[in-house]
Amino acid sequence: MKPPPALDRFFQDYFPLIQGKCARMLGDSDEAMDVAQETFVRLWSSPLVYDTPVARLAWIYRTSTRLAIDYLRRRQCGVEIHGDYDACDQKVLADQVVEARAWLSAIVRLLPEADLEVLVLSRLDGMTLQEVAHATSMSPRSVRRVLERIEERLRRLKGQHP
Amino acid sequence: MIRDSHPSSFALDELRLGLPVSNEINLHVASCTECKNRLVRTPIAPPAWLADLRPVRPLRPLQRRSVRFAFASALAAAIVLLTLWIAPPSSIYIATKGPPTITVFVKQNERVARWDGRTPVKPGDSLRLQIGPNDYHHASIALLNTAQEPGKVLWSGPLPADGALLLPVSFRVDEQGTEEILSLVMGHNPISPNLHRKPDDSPSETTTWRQILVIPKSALPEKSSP
Repeated sequence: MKPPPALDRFFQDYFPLIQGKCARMLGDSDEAMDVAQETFVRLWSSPLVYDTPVARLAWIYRTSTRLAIDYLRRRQCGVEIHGDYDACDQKVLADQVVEARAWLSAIVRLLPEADLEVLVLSRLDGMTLQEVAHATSMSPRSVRRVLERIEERLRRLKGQHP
Repeated sequence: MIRDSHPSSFALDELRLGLPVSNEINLHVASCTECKNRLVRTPIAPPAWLADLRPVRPLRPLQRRSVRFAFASALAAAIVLLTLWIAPPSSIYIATKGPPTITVFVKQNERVARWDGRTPVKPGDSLRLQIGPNDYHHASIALLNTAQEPGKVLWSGPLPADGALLLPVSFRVDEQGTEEILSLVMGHNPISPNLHRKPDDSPSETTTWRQILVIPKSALPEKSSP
């Protein structure tokens, strides 16, 4: 019989990185804390507690990204979007997180959720094609295609709303 | 792996968890103060909601020793299912005759607790619902006025195929009125806002399940006269 992990230790191991991931997407806000809490609760109540840390980490990145996108979309429900599409051409550095969040808020309703997920992992978390592929269970080639399609779409949107 | 001269957040999290990473990343982190600082582990004070989490059950490996054992396992599973079906759930919930369940969580300051079904909530509290959908695929929640007429739809969307859904939105209790009235409708298809109307006014719909939640609010403290 495999013993279950201790909750306290599990929390100290995983919650800080969940919290960091959510803060990158939503800032140091109540929403970020809510998403972090929900991600951790889902992780704790899933069979992943018995899985490998590699599988847990990929799941955490995927799930917290989806939850954060849900939050951003609801926050902007009915709000007119004024996007800064230029920012999508920039790489996101650690000290540019604030700008990155503003950029994410600007485009969150312009793209399908699956595309946004890939975009966040790539641009906001700075993940490589291989890392995004691992987290999303896609092939690196598919990830590249999705990113190219997104950039093309954002370029077209920029042309429509210069 | 290394972009903008630093490893990705994902790679740093792999390191934080003690997972193997490339030599390139190891060499970078060994010589980068900024990345080293990001890997410093500072203990976090356990939040109040952590105490509400149930312990995980031990995982038993799959055993296929004999038909007798398989039969015993099946019998045990049947007993557990029967027990779960008969025994009342331990958490506070509101449910109709059917299997769908609703659990209400109340967040007061930083403390999150299940609503006990009686205690009035306070203006400023946040309410969050967890839905056990059973076989339903979609749900919608609307705020009703005191005449139980539908107002704003607070959330509407698909439900997971298995397990309960903790809604990704919370609702803040305002200062108006003496109760919050929520209408929850579940169905097999996307829910029309019209289904939040009183049953008499709604079109006949046999594939939906509706529940009205009336959550009392505590009266605001009276302002002291000058």
